[in-house]
Amino acid sequence: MDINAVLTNALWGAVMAGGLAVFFTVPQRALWIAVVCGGAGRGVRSAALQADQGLLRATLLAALAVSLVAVLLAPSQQFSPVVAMSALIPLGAAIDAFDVIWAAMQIPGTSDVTQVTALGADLIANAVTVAAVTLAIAIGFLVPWLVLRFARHTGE
Amino acid sequence: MTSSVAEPILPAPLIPVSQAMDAAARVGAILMQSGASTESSVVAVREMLSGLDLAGVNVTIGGDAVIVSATEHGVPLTIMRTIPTLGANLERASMAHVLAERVHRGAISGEGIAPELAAVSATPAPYNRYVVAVALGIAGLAFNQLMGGTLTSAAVVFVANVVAHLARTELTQRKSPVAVTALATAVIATVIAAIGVRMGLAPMAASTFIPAITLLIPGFALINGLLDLSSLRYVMVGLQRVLIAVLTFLVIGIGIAAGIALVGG
Repeated sequence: MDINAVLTNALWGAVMAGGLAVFFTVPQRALWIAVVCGGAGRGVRSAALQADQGLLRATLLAALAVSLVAVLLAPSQQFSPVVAMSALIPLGAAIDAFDVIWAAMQIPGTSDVTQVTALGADLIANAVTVAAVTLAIAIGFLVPWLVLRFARHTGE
Repeated sequence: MTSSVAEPILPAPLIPVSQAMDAAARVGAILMQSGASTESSVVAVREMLSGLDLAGVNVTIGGDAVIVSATEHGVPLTIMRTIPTLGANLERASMAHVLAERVHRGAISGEGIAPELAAVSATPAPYNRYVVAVALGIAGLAFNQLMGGTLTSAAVVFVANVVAHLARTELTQRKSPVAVTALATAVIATVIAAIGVRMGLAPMAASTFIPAITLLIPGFALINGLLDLSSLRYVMVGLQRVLIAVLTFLVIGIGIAAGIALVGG
């Protein structure tokens, strides 16, 4: 495993999550939580991709990592784990999303039926990837949170 | 969620059913408005109701409103709180979640809820537009690096995000329609990125154009929307959120195409 690549990914993931946390009005005292979660998410994703886990599984594991770190850190600082949501954005399928947009913009100006078919197929395939990756992020983030809430309530 | 600082457990709150339901509905509306998922918003509303000793209350969240219904002295009672927009404000979302959890634990009295809710609603934006612009620039720069961009293209992306955000806040202050603002923002960011490409500072690639519009990416709408759809319980809210995301992507696409065409790419 290329540890250097994992650490580099974690570093930029942390920086991106921190920047987005400011955009999404995360309070100053909670910014570090978003930064740590961003680093954990991209680090786990990079490591899982290197371990041939595939994009979907790697993203699910990364979102789980973000959620678990948030659940561990945020409540102790009187915050909800929701402050770590900005750490989920760096996990999205950005290139596939760009390809969807690009294909959608090219179709209207293309007259060749074969080209239109190819662009349409590209658009659908990339849109499915974007949707699947986004769903993996959503499930990975929400499930541990709800499970822990449920466990705590049933334990009372 | 548990908190590290133990709070005293207060006697059971005694506030009218309608007030308790209204407080719970307000928490749900604040959460939905602030970017929380529908599932977690419903959980928070139920926590509030359970903390206020209200059983047999129905909670419904639609695209535009949180509806809480029950009976008070045998009379049916319905409280509705509207959700004006589906935005993202994680400070308010966190405060509302923590408040619901404290009410659930009995750590806050019935009379204490209204001032706390007012404080959540009145929370000012913690950062000014220039700080947010620079933060977005840094986020875009990091995004560019994650996508394998060069250092010069990262600089282009930084500038694109900063300028586009400042332009967007200016347009928002002038009450420009949301779609027009998003389109203009996408065009401005893309023009800056395309100029960078023409000057040889950045490659004509996704690693330049996608991070340049970091501020427009409808991440929360897409994540929450797909989650709502997959739950099969909040399909209408999910469809609304996914549609917002798809339309935003379309606007981004048109903006990118227009921006590149303007620079003659």
